[in-house]
Amino acid sequence: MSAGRLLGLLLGAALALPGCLLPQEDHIIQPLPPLLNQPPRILENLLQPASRFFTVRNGGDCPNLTFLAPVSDPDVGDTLIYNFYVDPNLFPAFVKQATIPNNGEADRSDPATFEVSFATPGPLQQPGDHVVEVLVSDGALVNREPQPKPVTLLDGGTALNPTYAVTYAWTVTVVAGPCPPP
Amino acid sequence: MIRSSHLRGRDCGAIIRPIQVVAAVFLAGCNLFNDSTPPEGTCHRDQDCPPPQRCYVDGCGTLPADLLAEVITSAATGVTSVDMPLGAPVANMPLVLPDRQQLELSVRRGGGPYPASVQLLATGQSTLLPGVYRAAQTAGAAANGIFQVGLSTGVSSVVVSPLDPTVPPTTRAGVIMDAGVLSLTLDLLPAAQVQTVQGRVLAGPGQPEPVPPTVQLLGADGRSLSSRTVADRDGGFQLSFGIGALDGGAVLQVSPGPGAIGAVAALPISDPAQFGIPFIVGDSAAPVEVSGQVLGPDGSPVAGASIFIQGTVVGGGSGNVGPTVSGDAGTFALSTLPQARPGALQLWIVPPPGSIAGLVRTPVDVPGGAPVAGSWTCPARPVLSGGVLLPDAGPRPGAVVRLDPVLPLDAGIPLPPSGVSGQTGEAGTFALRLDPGVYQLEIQTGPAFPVLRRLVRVTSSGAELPVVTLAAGRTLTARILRDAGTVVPQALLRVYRLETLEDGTPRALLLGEDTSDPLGAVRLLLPQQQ
Repeated sequence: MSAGRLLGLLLGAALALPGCLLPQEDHIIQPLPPLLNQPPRILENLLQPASRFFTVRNGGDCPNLTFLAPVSDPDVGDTLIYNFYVDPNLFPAFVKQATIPNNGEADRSDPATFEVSFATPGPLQQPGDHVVEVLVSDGALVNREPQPKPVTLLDGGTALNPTYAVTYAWTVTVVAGPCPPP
Repeated sequence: MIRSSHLRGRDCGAIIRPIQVVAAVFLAGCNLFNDSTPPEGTCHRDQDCPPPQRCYVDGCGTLPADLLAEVITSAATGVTSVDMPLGAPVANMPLVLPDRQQLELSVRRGGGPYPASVQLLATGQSTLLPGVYRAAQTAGAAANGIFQVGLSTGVSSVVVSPLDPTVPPTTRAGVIMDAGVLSLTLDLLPAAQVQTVQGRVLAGPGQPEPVPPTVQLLGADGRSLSSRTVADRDGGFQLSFGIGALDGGAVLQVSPGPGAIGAVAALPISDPAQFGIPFIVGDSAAPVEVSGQVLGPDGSPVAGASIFIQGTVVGGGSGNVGPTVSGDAGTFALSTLPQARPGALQLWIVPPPGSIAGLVRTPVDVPGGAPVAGSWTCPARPVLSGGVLLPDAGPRPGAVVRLDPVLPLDAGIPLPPSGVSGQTGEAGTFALRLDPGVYQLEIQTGPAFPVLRRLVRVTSSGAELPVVTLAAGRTLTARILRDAGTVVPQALLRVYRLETLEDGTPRALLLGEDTSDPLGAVRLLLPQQQ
C-alpha cells in the first residue's frame, strides 16, 4: 500500500471518528471468576516480644506487657480478625478480639496488639508458665475454626472459598516479685 | 521480531507523519471530555501551597510538627525499636537507622571473660515515648564473654543471670541506649566476694510445703541478689549472694510451687545468721472453698466472668488465686488460703467484654475452717456513646470503634483489664458498655480517612462523646534507610504524639502505623493539625 493511500485511509478514519476511543460496553467484558482466597501471614521477624520464650515479673508496679504481631495478607481487600488467648488449653475463650482493616497492601498497617497490665488481676499474674497465643484469620471464626465463604461462580453455581487462620504462641514465665527500676 | 526488522528496513517518515496528524486529532477529541483544572490542593512542592501548609502526596495540608516515630526492625540480634522525633513532617522523609542497633555486652568475672552459660534480660522504657516499654532476652555462652543483644533506644535495666547458682546475678540499672551500638561491661562477683548459705523454708513448724517452693534473695529495690532456686522436698535450699549484699536491706522471697495454693512471702533478711533458723511462711492452713453465683444488675446470671481472690493470707504472705470462670448459671468455685485478718482478701469479678455487668472488687470474708458461699451482684456497666459523621454531615455507618484501657479513673477504682470494640450503626452512632477508666478510643473509618485516636474518660455514670466529624488527613510518606544507605523492608513505623493525662503525666498516643514495602517506603494517613 502506498503512503498516499494509507494517509487517505487514516484521515478518513480520523474524520469518521472525531474523538477518543470509547471504552467497550460493560456487558462485553466478561467478569473474572472469583479468586481463591489466600491465607494471611504473621510477620514473625517483627513480633514483640521477639523471643518465643521470655520471663516477666508480676508486681503491680511492673510495666504493662505488650504483645505485637504485624500481619500480612496477599488478598489486599480482606479484613482480618485477630483473637488473643491466654492459656487456651485452660481458658478457651479469647481475651481480646479486634479487626485489622485492609489498607490496600499485603502488609497491613495495623499489627495485632494485646496489652497486659499487672495492676489488675489476670491470668498472667499467676507465677508459672503461661501461653499467650494470637490467632489471625481472614474469615469468620467458630470455635477457632475459620469458616469458608460461599461464592457464586460464573455459571451461576456456588462454591465454598476457604478461609484461613494462622497462629503464633509465646511462652511467658511469670515470676513473683516487684520490678527493679529501669 | 520479524515485524520490527521489516519496519527498520524502510523509510517510515511517510507513515509516521500522518499518524502524528491523526493522533493530534484523536487527542484533541479526548481533551474535550477532560477537566483541565487540577484537583484542589494538588501540588508538586511545598512552594505550591499557602504557608504554613506543605505538599504531601494527597495535596496541600498541615501535619503536626511534634510527631514522634518508633521504627521497629528485625536483625539477627533481635527485634529493636529506634525512637526519633520527626520534626516538621515533609513528603518522602528519610528515616535513617543505624546499621546496627545493639548492645555489645561483655560479661566478665575475676578479671577475665565469663565463658559459662548465662541468661540476659534487658527491660526498659523509651525516653522519647512515655508509656512505651520494651524487653529483650537471650541466653547462651560465649568463650570471650561477649554477647550481641538487640536493644531498643531508651533507658533499660540489664540483668545477667548465670545458670550456675553459685554465681550471683548482676544488674546494671539506668543503661541509656541511644541509636547505634553501646558497649557495656558487667562484672560478676568473684568467688572471694560470694557467700553461700543453706536454709530451710517451711509452711509451718516442722511442716514442709506440699509442693517445694521457689526461693530467691531480692534487694530492697527488687533487683535479684541470688539465683532463683527450688527448695527440696524438706524445704532445704542453698543460696549464693555477694558479701555485703544484705547491707542495703533484702528479702527472701518464697513463691508457691507449680499448682500449689500458697502465698508469696517476702521475709526480711538483714543478717546471714537468719538462715540458720527455718523460715516459716505460715501458709499451712487448709485451703477454703469460696463458691457462689455472679448476678448482673438485672438479676440474671453472668456467665463467662473471670473470678480471682487476692490479698494477705494467713501467715502474712500474699495470696493470689484464679481465674476461675463462671458457668452458664453464673456459678463458680475457687479455693484460697484463709485470710490473715478480716478484710484482707478481695474478690474480683471481671465480666466478659460486652456484658451489661460491670467489674466488681469487694472484700470477701474467708476466716478458714469452713467453706464460704455467697452471691454477688455486679453493677451496670456504664455506656459510652458517640457518633461519627462524614464531612458532608451524613452519618458514617460501619466504622470500627475500639477502646483499650490506659489508666484507672482514680486511685480507688481498678484499671479495667480489657477493652471493647464495636461498630457504628446506620445512624453513625455507637454505644458501648465498659467499666469506668481512661481509655484510648480508636475509630477506623476506612482508607479515605485517618484513624482517629484520642483519650476518653468513662465515669461510673458513663460518657457521651461529642459527635466526631471526619476530616481528610494527609499521607506522610517516608523511606526507612540504614546509615549505609540500604533500604529497610518490613520495618514497622509507628507515629505518636504526646498527650498529657489528667494527672499531669505525659503519654505517647499512637496516631498511625505502617510496614515498609520492599523499597523501604511507608505511607501513613495521619490527622491534620487542628
